[in-house]
Amino acid sequence: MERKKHIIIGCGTAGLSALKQLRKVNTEDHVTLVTMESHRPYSPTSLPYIISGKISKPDIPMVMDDFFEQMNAEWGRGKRVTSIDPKKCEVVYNSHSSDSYDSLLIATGSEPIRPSLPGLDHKQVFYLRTLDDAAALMNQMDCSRTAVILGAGLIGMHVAQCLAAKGIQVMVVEMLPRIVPAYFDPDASLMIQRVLEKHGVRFFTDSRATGVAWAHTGVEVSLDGGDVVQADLLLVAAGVRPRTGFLKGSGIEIRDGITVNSEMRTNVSNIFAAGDVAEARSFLTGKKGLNPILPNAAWQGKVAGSNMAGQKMEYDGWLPMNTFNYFDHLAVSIGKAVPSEGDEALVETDADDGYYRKIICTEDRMTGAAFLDTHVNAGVFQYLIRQKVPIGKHRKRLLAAPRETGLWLMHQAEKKATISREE
Amino acid sequence: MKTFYDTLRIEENSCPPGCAACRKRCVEVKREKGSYGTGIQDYHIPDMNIHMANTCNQCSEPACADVCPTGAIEKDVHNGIVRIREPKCLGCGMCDLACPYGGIDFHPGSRKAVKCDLCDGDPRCTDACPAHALLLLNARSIVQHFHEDALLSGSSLCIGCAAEIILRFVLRVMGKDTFLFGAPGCATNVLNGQGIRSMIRIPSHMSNMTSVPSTMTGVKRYYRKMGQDVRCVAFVGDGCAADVGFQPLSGAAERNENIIFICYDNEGYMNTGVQRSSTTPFGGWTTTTPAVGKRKGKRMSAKNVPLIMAAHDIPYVATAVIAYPEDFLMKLLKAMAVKDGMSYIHVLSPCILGWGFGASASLDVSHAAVETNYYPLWEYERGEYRLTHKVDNPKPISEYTRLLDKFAHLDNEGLEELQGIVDKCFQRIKALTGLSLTL
Repeated sequence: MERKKHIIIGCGTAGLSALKQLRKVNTEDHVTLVTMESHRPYSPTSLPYIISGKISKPDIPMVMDDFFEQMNAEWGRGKRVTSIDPKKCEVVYNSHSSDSYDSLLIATGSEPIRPSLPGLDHKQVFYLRTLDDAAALMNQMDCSRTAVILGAGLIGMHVAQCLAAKGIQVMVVEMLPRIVPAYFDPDASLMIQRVLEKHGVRFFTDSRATGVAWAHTGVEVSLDGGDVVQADLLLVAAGVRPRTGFLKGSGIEIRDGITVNSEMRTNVSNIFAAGDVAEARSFLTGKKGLNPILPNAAWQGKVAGSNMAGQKMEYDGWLPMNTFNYFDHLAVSIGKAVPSEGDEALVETDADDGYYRKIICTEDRMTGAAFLDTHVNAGVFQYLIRQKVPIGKHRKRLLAAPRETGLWLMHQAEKKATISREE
Repeated sequence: MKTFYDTLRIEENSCPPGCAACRKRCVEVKREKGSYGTGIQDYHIPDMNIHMANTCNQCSEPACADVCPTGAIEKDVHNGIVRIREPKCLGCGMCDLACPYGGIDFHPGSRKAVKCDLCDGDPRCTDACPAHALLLLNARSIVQHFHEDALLSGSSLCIGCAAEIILRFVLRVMGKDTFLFGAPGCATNVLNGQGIRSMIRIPSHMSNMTSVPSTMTGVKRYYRKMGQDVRCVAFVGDGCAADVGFQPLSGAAERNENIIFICYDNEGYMNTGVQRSSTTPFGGWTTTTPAVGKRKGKRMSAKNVPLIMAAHDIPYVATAVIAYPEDFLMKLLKAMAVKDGMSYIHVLSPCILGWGFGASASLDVSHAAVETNYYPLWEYERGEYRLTHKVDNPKPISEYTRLLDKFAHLDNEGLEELQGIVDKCFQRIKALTGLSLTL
């Protein structure tokens, strides 16, 4: 059999996951992974932990040193793909060399959104998306006593916590009325905010930065309410967007991200996309959209890899989910954060112990769950949501004893799947 | 064969209320190793009387490893254990978010992920459990006895049929120098082949039901005359062993021929359309013992062929099920070791079609048969009876019959009568094991 040639652009979670899957189902084909970075593959998820000092740089690579040899794959670093020609099946690296492929996976991930704000084009503006970003931020951190963060998403909050733990006075500016809006409802957001405030983080919610001015003493961010925030360090954490710039004019369909079908295939049949860059189907709504988180990237990469090798595999959709460690607290969110029309939301909270539990039910099944400082196995809730396990009369019990009830429902559902007695 | 690994099995809902012995032991062991947290969790829902434990499944494709942002989680290809390399663990929680089975836990102190590593192959929690609910299933010790698979794939047996797995298991253990004998039955196509294709890769012969033991006798003696020790193994159904071919079987046992006779007992004539046989149990539905109106399945209890075989005083007799493969393996090895006479193994082979259960439940049904003492696992070795798998708290027979449509018509009265038969039969075997001790 003739060996096919696969190229994977990007060495993040989705790209590596696709490579592993390609090798799992098909051992012969030629696979090349290219990355614009010079570092060994790592995940942006580990960056805040480098900043906090919880992990050291040698420990962050996602794969062992001999991984690419073991996988019999070519690994090209420092290769930035500048364009793709789907008609000729060719990718162009760094605008001069090129390579041809039989199938191509675009797993370029995402890049930070750079808001167009006067003064934000300054070189002292920090982002946190790459290892180099982290190194630069850490340098600046050592000589900073105050910091301002634009954006109260999970990345912003994670860094806020790391900086605050190091004794830096942190101020957070958020356009929306609450923090971590993508994963938590207003009540839970406020509880998280309170904890961070207790550790010295100041919040300016419902505020929009209108301008950034630079002086030798630091940076001044003016807000639409009239406030001016002064700091030694400015980090922009306004979210991420798919890295698709190089695809302009290629004919590959892009809306918010690269649109893909359930096989992770783009409108060009031998080009696939997976991970943060892909606009895939949502598990809950069935509509296409972005959900740039690690677990989705891993699964999408697997599906893409399988289909590239000619073994059909379908993606059942992404589900928003995340965990957030802050000081001695833990927040977990899976599925919907706020109920849609017709859903039932059950909440149990205790102001003294500080826990917060919420589940959202759509008819007989769960579609969302959020827990603050509650001992649960988060994945079990993902299972219950994804397997559409009927929770019926157990919904109250799920709030009262989420870990126990979750495990039990999971065990029952698994058993039912094994002993499917035909009536 | 790398994909066979050991598993820690947790007996469903059999923990004592409030018990945390396994978790406490695990915490101790982890601490001894300089680690933290626990790899096993007890959980209790007292008002529903649910008391269970939960641990990592050591998945073949672990979702936790797929999502780990630092590649800290790896499956050991040698023993299948999924391990976390602690220095690399961020404590980000992605693994916990990805694992559908609750196999990962966060240690609150260190905020790092913790999981079961089977204590590198000898899980210490198993001794700590007062209810003996934890058991390490040694797949690896089975696999090391395996030879090349002598059966090809794609037989015409029903999907999920236990008989095919049983035969495959037997041949894997027996290896080369095995001559397989069969008789008309479900396994006919396996032996004869379908069309121009046979699915068996060792010598095999199918004879009439009434001549299997005598054919084996001839073949065995011929090979011996040629100076070769060939293992002659019969794989026949209960129709042949218990009914039609019983006389020659008894004859071969009386002559103590050096053959291994294995009966896969599906409790009826299943390939001809589910008729009763002498091993069909009391109350069991078949087309010839229907359950309509006053008729409630078979009225007589089953013939206990292995006990009859033991009464011939041949060197080795055993009962087995495929759901306890270590036990089955041990019995096959003992049978193979017998060079001075006959061995007989009676294997329960749940029939999807004739018993009425889902295609994926053969093993669950076999398991329930043993756990209710419906089908006790015992052996008779050179004069001594032994129970090879003691069931501490046998479940009521309804736990077995509820899985099967062939008992669906049984009312409480019928169940009680069946329970009585099961108890009596078990007591008889138990008494025999006591007898051997006093001898």
